[in-house]
Amino acid sequence: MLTIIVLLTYFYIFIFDFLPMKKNRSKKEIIIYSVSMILSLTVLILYTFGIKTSQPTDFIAKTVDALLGI
Amino acid sequence: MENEFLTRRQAICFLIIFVLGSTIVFGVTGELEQDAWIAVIGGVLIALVFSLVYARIMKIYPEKSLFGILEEVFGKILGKVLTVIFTWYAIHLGAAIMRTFTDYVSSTALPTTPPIVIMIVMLAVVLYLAKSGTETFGKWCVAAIMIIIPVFISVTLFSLKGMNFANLLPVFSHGLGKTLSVSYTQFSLPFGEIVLFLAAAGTVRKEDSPYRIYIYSILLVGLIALIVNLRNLAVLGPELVKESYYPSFTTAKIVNIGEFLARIESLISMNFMLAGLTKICFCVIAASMGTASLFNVKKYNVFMAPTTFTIIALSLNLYKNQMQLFEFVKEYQFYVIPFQIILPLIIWIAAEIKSRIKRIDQDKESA
Repeated sequence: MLTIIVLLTYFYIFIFDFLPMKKNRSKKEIIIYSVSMILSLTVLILYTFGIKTSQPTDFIAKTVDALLGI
Repeated sequence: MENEFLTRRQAICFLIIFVLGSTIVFGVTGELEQDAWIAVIGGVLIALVFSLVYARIMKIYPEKSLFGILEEVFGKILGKVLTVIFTWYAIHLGAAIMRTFTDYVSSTALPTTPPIVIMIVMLAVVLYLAKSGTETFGKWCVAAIMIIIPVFISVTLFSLKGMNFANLLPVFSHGLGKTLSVSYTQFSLPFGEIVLFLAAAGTVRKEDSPYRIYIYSILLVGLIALIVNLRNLAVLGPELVKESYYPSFTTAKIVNIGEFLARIESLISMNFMLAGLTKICFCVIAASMGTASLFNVKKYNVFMAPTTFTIIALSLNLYKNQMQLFEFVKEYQFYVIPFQIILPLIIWIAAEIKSRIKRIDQDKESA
């Protein structure tokens, strides 16, 4: 169910944000837009299947702890 | 959208909301117990010092955004590297607030709703507001403050009956070292976050003094944070404030005047929603500006939808649970040092040198 909600949200954005924008935007803008949308979609779909990607907070906390010896 | 400006009033309202976004619900760290209000004053004083640095950067390069300033001062390559760093900060801050917001809604109102659904609902509002343009965003900030301040005042007045000022005693029982350390924590979260306003520096008119904008807003929001903290301490006592994740919410929850006025905690939730949405919205705008500057794209509104989705994707994977979110504050205060202190100082010094060299060259040419 969650996967469907995520896909519907992306579909909605595709129709109402991407398509109107596509007509008067450069190729570069469309590529950057598409790549970042696909990346976030992948992470969200993985999340809906219960697969969590690595946590940046863990990395930041470990780095700060190592640097400052907390 | 690029030629729109914020008025001074709108900019001040925005900065107040930006800081209040976290303070209004969390209050202040309970580490100092009854002396926590001293840390608020300390945090405000540190924020005032650094706001002079941020304002000076805006003054040297009027009507120019942070990302434009970075490229002008440090050149293309180093400018782009710093743009990536500040864009990451905007995305990370946006994700952290979105996660905090979602956890708050989950634990106080919608415990069985999946977080992703709450985030998607927020996405619609944030994206619509961000895409409406700077002027609309500025008007939204003024309208939001018209609701936030009266709600804050009424919750404080309603809690007067339950206040016990003996909870604030003894004063200064934690020593200077610990008080200063918590004051710095208070600066890093939330006062120092105002560094991000530099991203919108281009929307402030040349005639409007950035010093006034920063100083007025910090003093006003500092006063509100101080009252929020004193209220929470006086009503709940230091022990309960320390144990509570959301002390302002807990304070409002126990307010009960006669038989007719109870359960006013929804007012606190309303304030958090308004302030939280505004804060996330600005993070989306700042990160979109950074992305556009990174790829030399003129109109940043193209990247608002991808940025919002990136923030959602990051916020879902940011923390394991609410406890980790609160524990991360220990590292967070050091993690933000480059964004809030080191880099702004470097940018300020480099901008001063660059602008003086430019002025000398101009004087020579005219002579």
